[in-house]
Amino acid sequence: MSQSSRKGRRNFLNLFLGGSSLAFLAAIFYPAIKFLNPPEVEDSNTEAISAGKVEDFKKGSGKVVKFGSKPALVIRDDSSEFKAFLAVCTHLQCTVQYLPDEKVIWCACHNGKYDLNGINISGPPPRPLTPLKVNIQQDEIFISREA
Amino acid sequence: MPLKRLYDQVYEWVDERVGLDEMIHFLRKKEIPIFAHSIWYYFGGISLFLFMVQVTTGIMLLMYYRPGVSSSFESLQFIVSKVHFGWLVRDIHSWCANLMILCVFIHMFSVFFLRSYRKPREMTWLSGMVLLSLALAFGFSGYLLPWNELAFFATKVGTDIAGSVPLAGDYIVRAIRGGPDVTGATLSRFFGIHVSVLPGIFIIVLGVHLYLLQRQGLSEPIAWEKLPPERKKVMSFFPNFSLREMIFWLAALLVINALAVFFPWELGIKADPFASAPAGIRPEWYFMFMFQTLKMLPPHVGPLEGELAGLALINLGGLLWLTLPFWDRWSGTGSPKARLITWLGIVIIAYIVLMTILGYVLP
Amino acid sequence: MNLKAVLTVFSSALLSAALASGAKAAAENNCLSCHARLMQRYSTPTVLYEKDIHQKAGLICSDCHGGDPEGKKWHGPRNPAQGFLGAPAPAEIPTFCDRCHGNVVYMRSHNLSLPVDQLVKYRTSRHGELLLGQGDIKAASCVSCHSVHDIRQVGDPGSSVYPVNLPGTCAGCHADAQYMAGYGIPTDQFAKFAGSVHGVALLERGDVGAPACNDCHGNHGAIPPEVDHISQVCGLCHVNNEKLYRESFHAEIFKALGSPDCETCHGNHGIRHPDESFLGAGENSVCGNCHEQSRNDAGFALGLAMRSILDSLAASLSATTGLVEKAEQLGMETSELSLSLRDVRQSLIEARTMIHSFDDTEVSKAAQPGVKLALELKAGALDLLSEHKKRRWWLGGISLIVLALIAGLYLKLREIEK
Repeated sequence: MSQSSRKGRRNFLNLFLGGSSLAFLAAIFYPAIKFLNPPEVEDSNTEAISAGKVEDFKKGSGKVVKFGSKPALVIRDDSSEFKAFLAVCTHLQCTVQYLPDEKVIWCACHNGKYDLNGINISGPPPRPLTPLKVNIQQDEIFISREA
Repeated sequence: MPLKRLYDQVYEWVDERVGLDEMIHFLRKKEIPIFAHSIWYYFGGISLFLFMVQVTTGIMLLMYYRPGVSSSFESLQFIVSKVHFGWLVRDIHSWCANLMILCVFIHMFSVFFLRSYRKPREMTWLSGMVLLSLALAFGFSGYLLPWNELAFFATKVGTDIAGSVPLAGDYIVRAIRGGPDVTGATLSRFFGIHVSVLPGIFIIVLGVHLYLLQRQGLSEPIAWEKLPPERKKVMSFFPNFSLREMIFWLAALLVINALAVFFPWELGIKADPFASAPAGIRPEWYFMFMFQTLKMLPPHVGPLEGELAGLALINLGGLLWLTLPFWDRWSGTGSPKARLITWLGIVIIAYIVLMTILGYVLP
Repeated sequence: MNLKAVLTVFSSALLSAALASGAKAAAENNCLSCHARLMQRYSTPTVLYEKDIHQKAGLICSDCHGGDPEGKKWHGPRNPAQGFLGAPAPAEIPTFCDRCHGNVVYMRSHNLSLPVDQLVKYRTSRHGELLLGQGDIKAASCVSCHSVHDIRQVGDPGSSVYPVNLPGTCAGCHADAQYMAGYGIPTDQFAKFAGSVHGVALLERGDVGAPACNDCHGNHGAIPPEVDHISQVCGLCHVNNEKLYRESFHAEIFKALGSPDCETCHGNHGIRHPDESFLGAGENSVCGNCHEQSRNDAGFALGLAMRSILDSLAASLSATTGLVEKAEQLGMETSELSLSLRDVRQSLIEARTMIHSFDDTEVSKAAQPGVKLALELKAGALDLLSEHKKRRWWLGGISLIVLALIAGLYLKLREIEK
């Protein structure tokens, strides 16, 4: 084999080796660096979820929002106080709703009713609704599980 | 060539202080015997490499994992579903664990068959056995951390076995579990052991193991020793052996990759201590042969309870294995009895393989 | 007649005595000194009475049965001279209990919340008619259901009339074919109820939100609900269904036919959890009970239309749920999808309820959001699954880089060693 072709081969080999090493290192470091960059939703536990702004809720109204993988009912009562519960009926787990005219939380499945404290007052539900803590920070409503 | 000049300058600066030249000289001088079975020499290095992968991926997982009955599973779910490449880091960590233990076993058996444990390498063997136990402990403690159904029940069954030790059994079980049952306390304990205690001890013992290795050089197989000097082929450690090692390390990565592609690890279902155990609870494969042995023993062996007899047997076997360098007086002396040791090794491997297969095949 | 008058006089005297004795703890109860030690038949009440609510209220034997608790003389079975009323005859039991339980003033001093109209209602009931009107002692009276001497409060889970226990109590007579012979009513109610959705909920799951016999039939005024009142009974819990039905054209038709509303399709005691097979064609179809099973029959065609809407939504929901669960187990992020699945389920429930309007456009409207959402979620789940696959492909691709590097190193090695 001639000298120049050997050198040529050598160069090619070095290039190839260098190139694949770089690619390899990139394949390692790229995921590693991205991994260390935290995702948008920073928390694994649904510790506090924003349910919207205060002005989104009219007085005497209620809204169902997403709380992790469960629905939560956020109510702003007539005295502008905010209350929140897991909107899962304690009877057969249908999603409850707020009836502003009757000022009760109602389950359409079997006519179960809860008062504004989440206590079951009528119909089949055996237990009160699970209450959630409400924190208002800078006009934004945060709901979280009670400790 | 300004880059090369820079490189040379940096090299000199470091060499003056650290003695790089000496190290490289030593490495170049270091020789590896070449013979038919020299491929087995790589497995120690591969185990080391895999351990380093484990430490790295383990630290990365630590950035997001939170131990606790209501956060272990959830944080793992977070890692695999939301964290960028979280699924990748987790899969690598899980598969590399299995691969590392496999390589450690292969390494141990290759040392056995090559009789590398003979004088003066008895301490290397002993430290190696300690490393094996630590690796198994790593595997056992880490397995619980996802806090899913399979992990929970496998740990329950595994720790139950410790209870059959006479007298101290109850204490041992309570100490391991942090209580009478597998609970959040167990999780805390296993987590602390897995990320602090074991890595610390492992690194120290590994240091001893590697130091001995470097100081005593690689052991020469008996057959090779007997060759006339002109026939003894060697290769230098650096760069020949090192490059080969690099190739093998990359090949190990390839295997992990393939495993992660074809057998991705599931998240599973969160552990529920009050649910009944699902069918098919099994320990990890590296414990399977012990598990299957215990299962196959009759309820009573003589005056002893079956499980206890099994444990005693396994421990006795382990003890004999551990002290091998001290009672094997035949290997290397040319005695025909040396063959017995070889057969012993073959029988043990066959037993382990058979028991492992049975553990998966039998109901 | 004479005896009756005497008894009335003495019972009022007794009442005052009871009132008085209720105020203070009974000084002595010599009834017990004999009855606790007599043969089984006479001593059983004393043993049972320890658990009785009346005992806890401070009443002793004489407060109901009359007689002199401090006396030490043996009494006959009934001795007006001693004021002893003895055990009331079956037909006398309702008035016996009513002496106190129907007296507002008296009951106020013991338990304000108890009703005092039991006897009034009882007289209107079938049991009351038979016992008080016709003197049929086989008919149930107070003690048949509430037991005697170990009566517990209704809310006490040990009570024979606690909702979970009540169906068994009624079945004591109503399921006994021999006992009920001659009354012309079936005796399979309990068996049917136990297998029904309400029965399973109440008896097996202990869900006291589910109706027991009295929730539909009334307790003291127990009577089978009138044909035209049945939907109101069901509507106490199943509000939406009843309202829709009442406003539909079907209600009038059933009324004209004298058909018992809800019961026509759902049965009474053996109500199963309704499902799509009730509609349209097939064995289970309730439409088929009246309508001809052919598309020419407008009613049947309506059933078919509603059925197909529900079927498609239910199938869509089931398929999507399966995919989401699969993705979740693989470790993909599915919390949004799972949450939205609830909305699909809600839509299905609403569509099923809407059947009672007998208007397939309404059913379709109720199902629409669910159908749409289910498709979106299905796409989302499939996306996740393909993302899962894609990751594996990328990972496989990385292997090529590693292979290239291995090849490069190998070639380098060969070069070095030449």
